[in-house]
Amino acid sequence: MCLRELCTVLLMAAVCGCAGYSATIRSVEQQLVVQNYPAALAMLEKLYANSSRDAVLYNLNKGMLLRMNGDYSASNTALETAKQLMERLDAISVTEQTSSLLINDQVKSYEGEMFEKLVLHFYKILNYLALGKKDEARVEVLQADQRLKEIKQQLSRDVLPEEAGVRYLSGIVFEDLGEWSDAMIAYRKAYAAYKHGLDGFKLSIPYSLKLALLRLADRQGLYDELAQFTQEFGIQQWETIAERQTKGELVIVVNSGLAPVKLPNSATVISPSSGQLIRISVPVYVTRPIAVSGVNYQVADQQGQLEMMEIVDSLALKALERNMPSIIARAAARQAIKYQATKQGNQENAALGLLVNIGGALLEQADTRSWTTLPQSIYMARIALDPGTYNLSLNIVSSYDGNNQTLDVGGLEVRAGKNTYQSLHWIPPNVTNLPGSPREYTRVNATYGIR
Amino acid sequence: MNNQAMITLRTFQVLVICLALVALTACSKKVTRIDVEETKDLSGDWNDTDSRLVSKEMIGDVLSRPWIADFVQKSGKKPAVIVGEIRNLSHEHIAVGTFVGDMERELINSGRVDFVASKTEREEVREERTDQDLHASEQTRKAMGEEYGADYMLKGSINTIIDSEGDEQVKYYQVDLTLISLADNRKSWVGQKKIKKFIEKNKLRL
Repeated sequence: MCLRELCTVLLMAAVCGCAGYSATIRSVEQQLVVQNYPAALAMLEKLYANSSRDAVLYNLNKGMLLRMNGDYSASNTALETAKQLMERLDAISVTEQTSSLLINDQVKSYEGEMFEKLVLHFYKILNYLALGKKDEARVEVLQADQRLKEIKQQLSRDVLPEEAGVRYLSGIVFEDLGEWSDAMIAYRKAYAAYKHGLDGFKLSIPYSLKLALLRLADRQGLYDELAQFTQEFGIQQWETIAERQTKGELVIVVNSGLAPVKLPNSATVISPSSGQLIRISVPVYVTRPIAVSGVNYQVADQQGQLEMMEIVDSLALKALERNMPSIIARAAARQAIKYQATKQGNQENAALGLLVNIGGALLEQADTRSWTTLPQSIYMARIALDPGTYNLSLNIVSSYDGNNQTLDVGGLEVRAGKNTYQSLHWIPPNVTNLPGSPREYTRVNATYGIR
Repeated sequence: MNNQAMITLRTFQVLVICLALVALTACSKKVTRIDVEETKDLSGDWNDTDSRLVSKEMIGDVLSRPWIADFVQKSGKKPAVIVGEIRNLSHEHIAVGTFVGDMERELINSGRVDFVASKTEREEVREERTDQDLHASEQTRKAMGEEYGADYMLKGSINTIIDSEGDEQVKYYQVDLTLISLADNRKSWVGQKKIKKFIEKNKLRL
C-alpha cells in the first residue's frame, strides 16, 4: 500500500515534468515578443524539425515566423509543404489509430484543424500579394474554394462561419484582377459567412465588405440585390467601380497577438473497486490576454480605423469544442484497454500489475498541439487613394498597459485601378502571460484493496 | 476470465511489436533513373507529362497552320513572335515556362519563325548595351534603337475545372494559346489542349 502511494507521488512529479507542445513552444514565443524572428526560427528548428509526426505543425509555425520576418517567399514554401503533408494525412492511419489507443493522442501525426487549413490559404494568399504575384494568389484562392467545397460536403453544410475571412480576401483578389463576377460571388459568400457567425464568433460584418457588395452589385447590374443591400446596410452613398478606377487601393492587414494555447486538463483517481490508478488528460484552450483594442491608420490626409475581419480565438475554441467528443471517446477507450492490461498483470504478479498501471497512467497525456503562431485576431482596412507614393502610419491601441505603439511604413506605391498590399504582425509582450495549467484533479487517498 | 485477460495482454504485446517494426522499416531511400518520356503520375497534379503533351500538341498545330505562309507571302519575311503573358488561372501553381520554352525552341529551330526577347530579357540586354556604349570599343559596340519589332504576340491561359466527391476527383485542364497580330490585333492562330484525369485518394495509410 505504501509502495503504491509512493509510486503515485512519483507519477505526479513525472507527469508535471513531462512538457507537452504548449510548454515547449513557449521558448519560441519569448523570442517573438522581443521581435527576434531569426532566433525564434532557430528555436523552432531545434525543437520540431526532426519530428515527423509534428511535421505539419512545424511547417505551419515556420511559415508564420518567416512571414513575420518579411520572408514571404520562404514562408509560402513552408506553408505549401504543410498543405501537401495535410493532404497526405487526410487518409486514416491504421498504425497511428492503434497506437493512439494504446499510448495517447500525441503519438498521432498532427493533421491540422479544419480552420487551420483555411487560414493556411489565407496567409499564402497574403504572401503572394505581398510579393506582387497576383495570379499566384488567385491560384490559392481557387484552392481555398475547392477545400471549402470538400469540407462542406463532409459536414453537409452550406455556409461555414470559418470561411468568412478567406472568402473576403478572395473577393478582394478577384476585384483587384478586374474579375467582377467572381469578386461578387466571393463577397456574397463572405457576407453569408459573417452573418452566419455573428453570434458564435463575436464578429461583425466589415463595413468595407458592405461597400464592396454595393459597388459590385451596381457594376453587375444586379439591381434587386442592390436595393436589398442598400436597405439592409442603410448605406445610400458609395464609390462606384468606375469612380474607383482612377484611384488605387491600399489594403492593410494587421495581425495582432498570438492564437490561444491548449493546456492539459487532467484528473487522476484511484478506482475504489479495483485499486487501480485511473488517469484522464484532455486538452483545454486558454486564450491569451487581449492584445489590442484597436488599430488606427493615417495615410496622407486620410485617417480611420482598421476593422476586425477574423478572430482566431473563436475559430480555435469552436474547433476544439467540435473535436471534444472524439477526444473523450478515445481517452475512455484507452482507459478500458489499460485497465484490462493492469488487471492481467496483477494476476500474474502484483509488481507487474503496478508497473503496467503506473506506466499506463504516465503515458496518458493530453495532445496540446495547435498552430500557436497564428494571430489572436486579424484587422484590415481598404483605403482608396490617388496614385502616388505614400507613408502609412499605424497606431496600435494597446489594451494592456495603455502604451500605444506607432508603426510607420514608408514608400507604399499606389497605382490607378490596382491594389497595394501591406501586412504585418504585432505581438505585445503580454502574450506569454498565460494562466498556469488547470490544477490537476486528484483523489488518491481513497481506500482500496488490491484485487 | 483469466484467458480473456491473457488474450488482451498478448494482443497488446503483438501490437507494440508491429508498431516498432513499422517504425524501423521506414528508413531506407532508393533512387531509380527513368526516361524523361516516361509517364509517372504520383499526386495527380500537373506534372512534366502534362507539360510535354501540351507543348507537343501546340507545336504540331502552330507549325501546320497557314498563318506563317500567309505572313511570308504578304511581307516577304519570316514572322517575329514575342511571348506575352500566359496566365495561370488554374487551381495549381503551374510552371508555365516549361511548355512555352519547348514551343519557343521548336519554332526557332524550324527556321520558319523568329522570336524576340521578352520584356524582362530585353531589359537586361538593354542594360548591357548601355554598358557597351561606355566601355566597348567602337568596332564592337552595338547601337541602340536597332531592335527587331515583333509581328505577333503569343498569349494564353491555363484553366482547370475540378469535380470531387469523397475520395474521388476529376481534374480537367484546358490550355489555350493565341497568336495575336501586333499590327491589327487580329488573332492568327488559336491552339488548345485538353487534359482530363481521374484521381482516387487513399482512404488508409500506414
